[in-house]
Amino acid sequence: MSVPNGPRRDAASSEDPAGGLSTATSTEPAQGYATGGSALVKVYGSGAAQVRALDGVDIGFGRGQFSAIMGPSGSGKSTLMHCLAGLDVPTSGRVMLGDTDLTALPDKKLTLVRRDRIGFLFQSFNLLPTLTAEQNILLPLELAGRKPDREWLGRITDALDITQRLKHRPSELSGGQQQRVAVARALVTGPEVVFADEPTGALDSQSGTNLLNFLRGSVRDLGQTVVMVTHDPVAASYADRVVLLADGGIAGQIDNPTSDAVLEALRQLGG
Amino acid sequence: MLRNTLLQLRSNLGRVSAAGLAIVLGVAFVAASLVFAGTMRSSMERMLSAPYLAADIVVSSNTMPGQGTTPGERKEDQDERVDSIRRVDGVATASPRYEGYANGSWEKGQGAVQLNRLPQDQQLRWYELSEGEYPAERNQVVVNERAANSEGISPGDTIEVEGFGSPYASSAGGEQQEPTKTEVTVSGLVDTGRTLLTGSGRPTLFASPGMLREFETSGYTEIDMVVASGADTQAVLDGVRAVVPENAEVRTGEQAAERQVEQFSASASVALNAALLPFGAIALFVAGFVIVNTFSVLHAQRRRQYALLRCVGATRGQIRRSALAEALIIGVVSSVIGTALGILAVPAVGWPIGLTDSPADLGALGMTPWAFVVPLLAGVLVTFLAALAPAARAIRVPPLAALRPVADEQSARRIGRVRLVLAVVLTALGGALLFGGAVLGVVLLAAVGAAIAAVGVLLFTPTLIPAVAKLIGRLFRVFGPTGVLATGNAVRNPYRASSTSTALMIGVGLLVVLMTGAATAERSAVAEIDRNMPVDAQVSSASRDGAVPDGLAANVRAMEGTASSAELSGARTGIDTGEEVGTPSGKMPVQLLGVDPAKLSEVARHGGDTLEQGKVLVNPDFMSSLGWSDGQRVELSAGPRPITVRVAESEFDGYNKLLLSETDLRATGLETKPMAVWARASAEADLQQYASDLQEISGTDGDSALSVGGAAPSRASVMQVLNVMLLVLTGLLGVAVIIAVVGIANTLGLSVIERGRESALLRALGLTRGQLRGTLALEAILLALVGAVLGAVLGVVFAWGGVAAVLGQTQVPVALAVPWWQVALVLACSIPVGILASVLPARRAVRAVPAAALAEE
Repeated sequence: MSVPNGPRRDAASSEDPAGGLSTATSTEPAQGYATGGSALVKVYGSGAAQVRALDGVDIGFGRGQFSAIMGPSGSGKSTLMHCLAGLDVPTSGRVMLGDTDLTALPDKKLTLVRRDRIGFLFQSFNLLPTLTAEQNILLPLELAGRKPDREWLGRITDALDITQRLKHRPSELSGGQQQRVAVARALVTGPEVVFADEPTGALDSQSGTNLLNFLRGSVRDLGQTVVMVTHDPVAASYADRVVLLADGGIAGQIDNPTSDAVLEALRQLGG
Repeated sequence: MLRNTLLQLRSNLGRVSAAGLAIVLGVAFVAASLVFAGTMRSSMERMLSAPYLAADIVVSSNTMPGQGTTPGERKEDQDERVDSIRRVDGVATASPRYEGYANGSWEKGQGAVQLNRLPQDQQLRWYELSEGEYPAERNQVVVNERAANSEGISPGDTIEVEGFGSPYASSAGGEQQEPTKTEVTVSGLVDTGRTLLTGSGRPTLFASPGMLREFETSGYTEIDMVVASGADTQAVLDGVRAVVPENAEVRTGEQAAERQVEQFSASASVALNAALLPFGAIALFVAGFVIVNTFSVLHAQRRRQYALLRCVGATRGQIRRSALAEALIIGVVSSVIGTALGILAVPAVGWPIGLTDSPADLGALGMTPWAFVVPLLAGVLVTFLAALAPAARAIRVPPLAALRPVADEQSARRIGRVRLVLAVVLTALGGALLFGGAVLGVVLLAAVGAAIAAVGVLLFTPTLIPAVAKLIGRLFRVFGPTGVLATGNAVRNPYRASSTSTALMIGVGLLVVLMTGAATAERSAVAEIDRNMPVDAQVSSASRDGAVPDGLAANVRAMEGTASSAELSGARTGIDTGEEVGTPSGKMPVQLLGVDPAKLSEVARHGGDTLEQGKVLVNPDFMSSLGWSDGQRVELSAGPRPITVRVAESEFDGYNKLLLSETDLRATGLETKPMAVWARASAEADLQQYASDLQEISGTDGDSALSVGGAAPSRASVMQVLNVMLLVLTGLLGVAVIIAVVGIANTLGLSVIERGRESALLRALGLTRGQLRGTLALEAILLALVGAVLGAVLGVVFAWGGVAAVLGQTQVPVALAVPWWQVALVLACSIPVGILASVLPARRAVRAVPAAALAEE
């Protein structure tokens, strides 16, 4: 799989703020990033059963960067991603997508933000069984009532090698194919940020490698911003930067990580 | 295992609640039907036996009531008999009972009143004084409370009573005697009990024997007695028997009451049950579909649980028992609730229509053990039977399924080949029989065909309904992605979709059959009326001289909706037929009517050109009793100058009427008066409305003798009867339809739970809450629409077969009339119904936070 040359979005093409942002630390404010949050707190339950999944997280992810969030189970990495992606509302703190404060938006506006500005990849693919691959890919556009850019669609599906499978339903596709359909769906709207939650978790290693290469390529060639939650050090090594989470807080970060460096860092966290 | 079942049921209470509700509704309907019929019966029985139970001994004739203790007996002899009974040892009081009728008029109205004798003995007054006092004077009466209330009669009012003339008085001499008139004062009201069949009834005046004597037109029906204290009832019975004729029955009050109740055959309540219970059966049958769906979904959702149980050593039998035990619990609980609700519903509904004293008057209910047992058993049985197939599928889960990851796609069951073949064969066979029966005109063949075809179609629904749904779903594409999603979701599981829509299909199908039947009956009746009644409205008078008021013709002409009208002048006279007709003069009484033939052509819808000078138009029935025949020349010697006219058969007017041209009528030399006004309604006038307007105009003169005949009032009354019937039947079927709608909500609700992750995904991808609601509403509308469309199509087809078969067999001229507007209305109703059914499931679906739902693995 190779990433198509996308004439897609202005944001993706010219400016490259990555240089300044790659040194971002957890204490910096959230403004100026593709996505970020400040003083994020997320509490589940109450009383004795109370869990602080996020405990005052400040973080920013630069534009055109491939970032990975890692941490042991229960470290809050999925919660962080859900909050950043507008899938969940933090108990307190602020979430920014570009210049938009997601925490200030009512549900309807938040939904439209997800539809138009964010792409999603999930571990279990999450395709709708009643729709064909093509209908699944175009769903966000259809929900928005937008006409699909056929040429762009063709380039994505060619690059993902699923053009021949567009009329099939998810049940007729392999796991790798299903995940590639999901990738096409995430990219078709030209989102500002793609959030990926364990995208390789349910794939065999070859499909997983292909997927990570594709994501890597989309960041490099299209300037796509990707934020990925993973517990796989190999997957994390494809990222420009790894943010480590532990007990609901930032525990460190690694720029230009290798899988060994990530493994070492995780070991130090006791994960 | 049982504990596990109970725990499972408790955690899934919300999911089975709709199935429970369906059972509750069906069972409640059955219970209410039984209690309702029983209450009608018991209230009737109480009403019938009350007068008898008040007496210690009752003497009654064994002939029909109202014919006197001995038929043909003279009043004086009857009085003598009462006296002789009074002399029997041990008889404290003997009071003859009398029921007669008279015309009454009071301040707020008038009409026939019943006259009853008020016994002097308190014990024999089987009613209770509810207001005022019992009469103290001869011209005072008490009136039954309910009729008095509805007629606006209260204590202190006066009622003028006009008798029909007493045969006892007339036998003394004069032929025509002025009717007796008396004014009475209402001293009080009595509560005589209530029944639905008698309604509020006509006013009954309980009057003193002295006042009644003038009005009595027939003998006593019974003689009631009170036995003196200390006397032996058996001895008194024997004593009374000795003084009454052989054919009179002497019984104790209880025995007489029992006999009355027996005579009022149980058939009334049997008939009522027979009319109501089929609708209960339909409701329960439809509820069965909801239950099948609930358990199918529930078991599918528990697939892994069951597999896990199998892994840890549960046998298939244990899993089946667990599933069936669950169904039994739901069935029993729902049936108990349903039975209780059904029983409680009767006084609540029966109160306004007079069955009970208050909405909580349970004492008045006629409850037999059946009213408890039948609905309970029926509800439990339906639940249990409906759970069998889903349970059989549940046990097929292999233990290994617990270890496999959940298959993401719904492994929708394929429709069995045997079932499909059977469905096609039965549908084709039934359809052929129905068609054959319709063409050949054999009702039985058509009925059998319809039944077989119905079974075939029911088997066919898992294929048919998704196919139709996909077809209709294409229309939903205009709604964009929500429409596509809704269609996909609706047909995802063909069995689920089909049993959901089938429930509604049955209800709507029966409804459309009824509507078509009613419309066909209406069209046939209207055609018959139009054929027999060429004139829309005929106002005539029943007054002594038969004349209508002078201004009537002008009023009718000026009335809205009148296209043309004609005043007919005429005279009452008699003609000599040469035969004995049994009147004092020996002549046949006739009403000669004259009209301008040109005017008649204008007013009549057909046959108006039959009349010309030199012709007399006669109704066929009257023609044959006159001994005339069509085309015959007769000499009409009705007036001073005889005229010769040719007889022509016509449908214009009824018996005893002869219709002539105005010129011929004048030629008879009779003195004429305006005697009728005939009118034709304009094409755009609503005939029902026209008839009632006309009645109003005719009645405003205060001349109650005027009556309106013709096609318009006849049509109006036929339509009214059919409309009321259709309304009642629709209401009865409504329960089944409501259950079917509950079923749609149920399916949707269960699917929403299953699709939690999908809904969350859609929300994550940018589906707004409104769009999600819309998707669910469209899905429900689609399911409802499919059921309604198929039901309507099948309903029309079956109705056509039935009508054609009846037509062929009985030669009754019926023409199929499909009430397209009503059918369209039913179809249109599926849209709001679908939206309604989706409200609760949608609430649950949109509440979920996308992240939380996605996390549920």
